[in-house]
Amino acid sequence: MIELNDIVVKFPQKGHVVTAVNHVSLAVDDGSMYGIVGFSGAGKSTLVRVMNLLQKPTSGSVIVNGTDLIALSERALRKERRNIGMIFQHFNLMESRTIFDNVDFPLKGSGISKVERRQRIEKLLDLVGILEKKDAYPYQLSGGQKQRVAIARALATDPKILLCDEATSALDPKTTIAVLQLLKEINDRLGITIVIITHEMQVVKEICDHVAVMEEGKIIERGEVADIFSNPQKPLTQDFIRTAGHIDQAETTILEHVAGEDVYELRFSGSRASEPILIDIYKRFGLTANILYANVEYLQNKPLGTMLVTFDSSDQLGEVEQHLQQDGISMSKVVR
Amino acid sequence: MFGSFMEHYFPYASQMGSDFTQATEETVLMTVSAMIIAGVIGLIIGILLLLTGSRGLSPNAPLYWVLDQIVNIGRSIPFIILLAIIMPFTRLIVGTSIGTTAVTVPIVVGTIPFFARQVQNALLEVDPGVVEAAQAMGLGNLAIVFRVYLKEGLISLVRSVNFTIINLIGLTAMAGAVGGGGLGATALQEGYQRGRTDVTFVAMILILIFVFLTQIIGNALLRLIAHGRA
Ligand SMILES: Nc1ncnc2c1ncn2[C@@H]1O[C@H](COP(=O)(O)OP(=O)(O)OP(=O)(O)O)[C@@H](O)[C@H]1O
Ligand SMILES: [Mg+2]
Repeated sequence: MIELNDIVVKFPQKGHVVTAVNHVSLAVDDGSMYGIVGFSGAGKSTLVRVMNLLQKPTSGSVIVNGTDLIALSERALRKERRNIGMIFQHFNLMESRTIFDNVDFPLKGSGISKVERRQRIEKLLDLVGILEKKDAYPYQLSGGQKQRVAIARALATDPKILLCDEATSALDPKTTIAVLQLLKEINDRLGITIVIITHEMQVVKEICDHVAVMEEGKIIERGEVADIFSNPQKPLTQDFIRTAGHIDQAETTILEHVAGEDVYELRFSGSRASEPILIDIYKRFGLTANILYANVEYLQNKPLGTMLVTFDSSDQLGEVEQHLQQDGISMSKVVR
Repeated sequence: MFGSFMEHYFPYASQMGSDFTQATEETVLMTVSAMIIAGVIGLIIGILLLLTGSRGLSPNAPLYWVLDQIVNIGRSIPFIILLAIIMPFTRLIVGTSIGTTAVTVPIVVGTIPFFARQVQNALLEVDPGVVEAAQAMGLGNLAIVFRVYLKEGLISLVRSVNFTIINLIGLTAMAGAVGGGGLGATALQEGYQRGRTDVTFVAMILILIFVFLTQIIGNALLRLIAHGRA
């Protein structure tokens, strides 16, 4: 369990102060896969670095697994950090050490016997699928392989939490999926809580159960991934979601066919069928909807429905939107 | 054949075999001992500069400023002037101001800031991301210095040592001018001042051989620790 309470992080610069994190409170439950999305400079990295106190907050408290990190002595904090693994965008492996020695790095001096260490390291390298490279050096590996090593290293001390700062941002789409699957597997099999910082909503959609959207140092929206995807409130969240869907590609083609008409996007929890929604609109408002696109996909086993529709009249659309909103369906005009 | 060739072209040098042997020994001794002493002190100062710098592991602006100034000033003083200025200090610690041992003192003093700055720069090249990863793993500053900086920066450090030794050989030669021993003294006193060009020439060749050997050994060492990268 990670609890951030009213965290503020300020960086005094020459002449002004940058507030990277602005009164953020956040709770990440044990075993959760928590995604934090936002554009560059939103304060994501700063926030995640607060979680292991690599970044001391200007104010606020950080409670990890029941321990108040800020109250700890330097020594006790270092010990606590061994329970919080971390991986990075650029992997940060030690170039001068073999893959095996990189994973061994956090274990040296931990009082574990050499034999036991060897067993653990080989088990971890096997888990991340890179055991055959154990005697290689990092420069001999691809990006995806390096990140696997970094994951094994982060898991070496048996942490309960794994922090991932843009862990897949330097990888190609296919490798990204593979690394995300690995993280998911680690979460499932080892029950490790994972916090994932990313600027790609696709990553969140792929593996997270919760998500927080950050903008200018604040969390502007948060919740279960399925809920956020079916009913995003903030325009920024809607933007992020649009970039994560297949709809993005379909949209261009569809919009070309209905040039000049206003297209609306409806998102809803897919347990509801699309027909009744549109019939309901017709009954209440006398509007006929024309479905251009409809899709149901599954996020963490919860169905998520998306529709693109046009209406035969633009009267009362405000009321329609309000009505749908009360029903847990988000409606937004597609901007083109 | 070879004997008459030597006598013809190197009339004086060919008579000085044992002098050259001794001078070479002195040069090697001065260089190695200065490198060891200045190496240890320079390494410590370089690491302190690294740690106390604004992006270091434990920033300390006043301490950094003092060390930085000392290093800057130390590097700015021309060696030939340092030799003279430092004489009383030399006499204080080794009891004399001439001879091989005495001249090692200014050589060490002149090399410390030179090497310290190189250590600092070599270690600054270590990826800050790797340092951050080590911090995240719960390592303390001292452990990070030894297990991350010195290990990851080893290639650059070896290059710095190599470079410093070559620089040191130059200093030992210059020290010959003020009563130090070694090949520099031979070249100046036995060769140049007596108009015996062949002696100067042989001394120069021996110095060059020393420099080349240093480079060859350094490069071999680099290959050994680089494990195929770089
Ligand atoms: N050490 C620092 N000193 C000064 N300003 C900083 C520092 N670290 C971060 N900032 C500032 O804080 C803000 C948030 O930075 P942060 O790195 O947390 O953003 P981010 O969301 O991770 O962005 P990105 O997606 O580009 O990694 C930025 O305006 C950045 O310039
Ligand atoms: Mg970042």
